[in-house]
Amino acid sequence: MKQIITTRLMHWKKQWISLVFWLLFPLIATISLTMITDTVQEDSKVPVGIVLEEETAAVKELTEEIKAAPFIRMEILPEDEALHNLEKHELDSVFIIHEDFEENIQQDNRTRLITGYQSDLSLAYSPVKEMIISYVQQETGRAKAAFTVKQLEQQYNGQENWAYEEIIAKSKSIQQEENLLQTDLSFLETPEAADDTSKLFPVWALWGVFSFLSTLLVFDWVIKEKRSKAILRLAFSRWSLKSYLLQNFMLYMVILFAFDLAAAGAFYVMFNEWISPVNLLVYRILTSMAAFLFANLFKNQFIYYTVSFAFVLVAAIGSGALLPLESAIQSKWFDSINPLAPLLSGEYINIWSVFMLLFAAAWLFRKEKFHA
Amino acid sequence: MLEVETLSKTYGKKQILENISFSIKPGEVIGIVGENGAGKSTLLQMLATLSKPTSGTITLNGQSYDTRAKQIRRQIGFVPQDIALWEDFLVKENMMFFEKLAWTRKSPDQLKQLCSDVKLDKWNEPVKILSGGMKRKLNIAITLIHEPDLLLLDEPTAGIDLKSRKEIGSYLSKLAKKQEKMILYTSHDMDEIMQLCDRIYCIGDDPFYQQVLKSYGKNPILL
Repeated sequence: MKQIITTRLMHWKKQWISLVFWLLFPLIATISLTMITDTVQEDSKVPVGIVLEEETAAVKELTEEIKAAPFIRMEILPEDEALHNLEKHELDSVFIIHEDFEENIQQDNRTRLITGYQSDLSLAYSPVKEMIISYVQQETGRAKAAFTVKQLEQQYNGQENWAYEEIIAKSKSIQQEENLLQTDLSFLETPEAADDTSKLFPVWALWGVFSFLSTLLVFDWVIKEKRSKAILRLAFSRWSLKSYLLQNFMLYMVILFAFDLAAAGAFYVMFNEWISPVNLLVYRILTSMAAFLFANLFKNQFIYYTVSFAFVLVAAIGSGALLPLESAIQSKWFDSINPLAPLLSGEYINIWSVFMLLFAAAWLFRKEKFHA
Repeated sequence: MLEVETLSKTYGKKQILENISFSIKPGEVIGIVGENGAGKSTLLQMLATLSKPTSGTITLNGQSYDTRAKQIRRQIGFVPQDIALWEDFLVKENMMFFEKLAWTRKSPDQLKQLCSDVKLDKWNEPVKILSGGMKRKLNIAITLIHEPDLLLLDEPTAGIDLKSRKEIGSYLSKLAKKQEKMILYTSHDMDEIMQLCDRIYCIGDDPFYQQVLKSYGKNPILL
């Protein structure tokens, strides 16, 4: 093996730029695309200006609610600046939360709590207005209920003597526990809570697609070296062609897995995304086997590149990794032949993996071209 | 000693070689001539264990090709008609690459000496910028790394300049005489064959080569 490593290093020395590029490609492409889509997602949110004349708990709660809206980017500004930005159409709309907001809600006074401004190009004015009205109604209703509870307690000579804040807190906890509408959105049978941090493309699905492509392209050495006249000399060396290819395959698999682990570390640090190392290892073994065996079928590397791109595209679309097509999600049969399944769902034994193992066994036990 | 007895080769219904018998002793240089398609390369491929004969036997130093082909390969050096080199590598890298895969270990100095022996002094040059003659010399030098007893050369001087051709010929002749190597050589260059070979075998039915050999005053041995 030492000799094979030395000879491989000699090859890598000549093509280190393309090798390093394709080894780093999945990591760099995934990070770049994730960051770009995150920025686009953030930029596509409607900017809404909020002016705060008081900073009470109720105001904080309301601003948190507006901030949590997935389509709105909230900016807290002084009144002059907010209105100036609205005139320049840098803000979609502006809402001024007036002084005594919390007190007015508690006293069931629903007038002149907030002043809203919109321009002729405003899109989010109505939805934000509705959101605020809904919040105000909810909170004034809650305050009214708290007063009624306190009144009833006094009327019937209750001993509990609940504080107003205590009743409000209890009301909120009951609301939380008995919320009628609670929706979780999930793709491909993977339960995932819908929140504003969910990404347009799942990081590992994206990496899986790029990694599959780079593995196929890295393994073009099989075609290049099998085509070379120099490979004929292996018949008169310590290694047969099969054992030379096999040992080099293992070497490539190890180096690819090292870069996979580096990618896992980077994604954990940057996006707080983690994956089971077992999933990663099984995926690496199967993908490398697929690329190696696939490359063995070709004599022309350009045809191999074309077929590789097409293959990866089908896997990416069909698995729903890039485009969550409804038909693809529904077709369970694709999961069983999906090369990305061991990575994304931890499904190690499926038609794809069994087929790869059979194919590998056939390659391993077939007769060599140069008879011994 | 290489012994070939009643060797035949057919591809489908086409008979390429029929009942060929000859032998080579250590220190001998044997030339094989014949028109294109006569079966020279096929014969060399069989002697190099890269192709199986349809019938007949081959033995090298008493070992049969049928039963000990893997061991026999250690004793064979095969110089193919094509340049079998890594074009992107330097001369020294090519030598070191194949040394790593060879059965016998050689130091960089020994490898450099091997190149000097075949009059190849471009140790640090990339193969892709070498002349055809230099590439042919490197093609031979790599084949000699594992010190084979039998050297099979398929038109090793095709398409190269006269000086390089002479240098290769002279080296092969020295190799046979001093190191007792058995050398089997195919070429279309009659001058070269005449100068280098102890015996000349003629393959094929075409009387042209027989007449040419007679004109050089040599009696061709028909295979």
